[in-house]
Amino acid sequence: MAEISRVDSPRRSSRANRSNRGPVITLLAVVALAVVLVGLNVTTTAQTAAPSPAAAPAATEAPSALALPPPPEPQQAPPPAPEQAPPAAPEQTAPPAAPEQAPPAAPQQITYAGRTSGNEATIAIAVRDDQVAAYLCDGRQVESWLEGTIADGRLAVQGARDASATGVVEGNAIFGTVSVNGEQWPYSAQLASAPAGLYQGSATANGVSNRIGWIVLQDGSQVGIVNRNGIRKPAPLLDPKALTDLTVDGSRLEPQRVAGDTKVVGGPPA
Amino acid sequence: MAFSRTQPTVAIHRPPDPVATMILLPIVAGAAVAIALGVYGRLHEPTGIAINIAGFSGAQAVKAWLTTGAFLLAGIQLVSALAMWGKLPGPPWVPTLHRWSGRFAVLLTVPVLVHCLYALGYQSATPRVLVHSLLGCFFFGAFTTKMLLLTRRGLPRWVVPLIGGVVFSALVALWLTSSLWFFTTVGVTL
Repeated sequence: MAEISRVDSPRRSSRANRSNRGPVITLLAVVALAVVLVGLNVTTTAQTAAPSPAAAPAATEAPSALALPPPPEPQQAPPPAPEQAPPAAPEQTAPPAAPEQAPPAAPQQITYAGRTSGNEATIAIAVRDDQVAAYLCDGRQVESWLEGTIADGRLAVQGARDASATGVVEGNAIFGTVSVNGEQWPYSAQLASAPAGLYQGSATANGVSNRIGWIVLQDGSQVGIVNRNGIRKPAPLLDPKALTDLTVDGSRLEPQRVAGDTKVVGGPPA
Repeated sequence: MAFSRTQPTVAIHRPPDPVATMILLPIVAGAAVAIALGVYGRLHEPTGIAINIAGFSGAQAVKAWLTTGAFLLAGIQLVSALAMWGKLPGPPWVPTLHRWSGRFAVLLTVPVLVHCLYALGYQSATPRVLVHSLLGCFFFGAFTTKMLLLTRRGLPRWVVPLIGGVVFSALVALWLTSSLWFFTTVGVTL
């Protein structure tokens, strides 16, 4: 036992010698487990990243693929509010406020839904062919609508007030960085099947415009914000299956599923 | 037995291996580990992706529960350490319990460490995230220091309890800044 020769004590038993080596073995076990896990990660992520050469997107660059100029979006001091508002949904029918564009033949419409890495916000990315509409929302005060394109597995979207997001498609998910209100968050979003996805609704009554965005995650949970002339608060609960009309502050609006080519930047499309 | 680890007869009189060096070298090694982890986390481009464990809603939930497991085992660590040092009555197998609960605790944290550093990296966006990043690096450095210190003979009585307390405190703070935050903001979900 080499370690005994250091500062040994006469009372050291052989059992104590064993325990003396134990910590080193523990350390080595920790290192070994870490190496194995890193190895697994490297191999699995390398496989899923096969289509695109770069694993991670550049954080800031967001090549503008927008035809729309980002119009001013009112945005100031939203009141702090609780996580989710109770549902408010009298069953009524109203003329659609935001008719979706006629879908082209056999479009490739998919939606990704996920969260930022620190769970600061949820994000949903709707893709139709190469057109992208995305929405970032924390369910309280922070939201941003984004539009852009996806090409060669690389996503670039932009919104009002320099909001932007980039991402790389890896398998069934998009990984990237979203910038909003001067903050940058890494995010990941997985392919989501309906009713999970991205929804919006808008209505204007008495000069007050209400616009709501909802993100429904794959597990059924949802996050939404109602933007009432720039004042944001949690959105009423959406029924993503029935898409029944909602009444918000007296104006009725019809929730709709957002597709990749839906115009979302620049306020309500109605 | 319970006191097999304590060596009250300190070998200060031995000039070739003074106590200060015995303590210093593990601390230097631990500091090197902490700094290396932090530098890696800062420089490595976070992939945003890592392997996941089936049955959980996501990587965050997995990490929250793994850390909670380590946190509970750390409670055993504290109690068993108190028994080993005679502050509490305890059965003769308390040292074994201490060693193995500690091993399992730290092994539970390794997947969390790997995911944090590989997928997320060192971040400082918010105070919670900054503190968590710093503590995460510090924890594994302090753990390294403790393991290396345990191999040394003739340490002053206060050394091992001190470093053990540091490791324990760091883990508790890590749990508070991650798992507790996750459970209170996202919810207690698998």
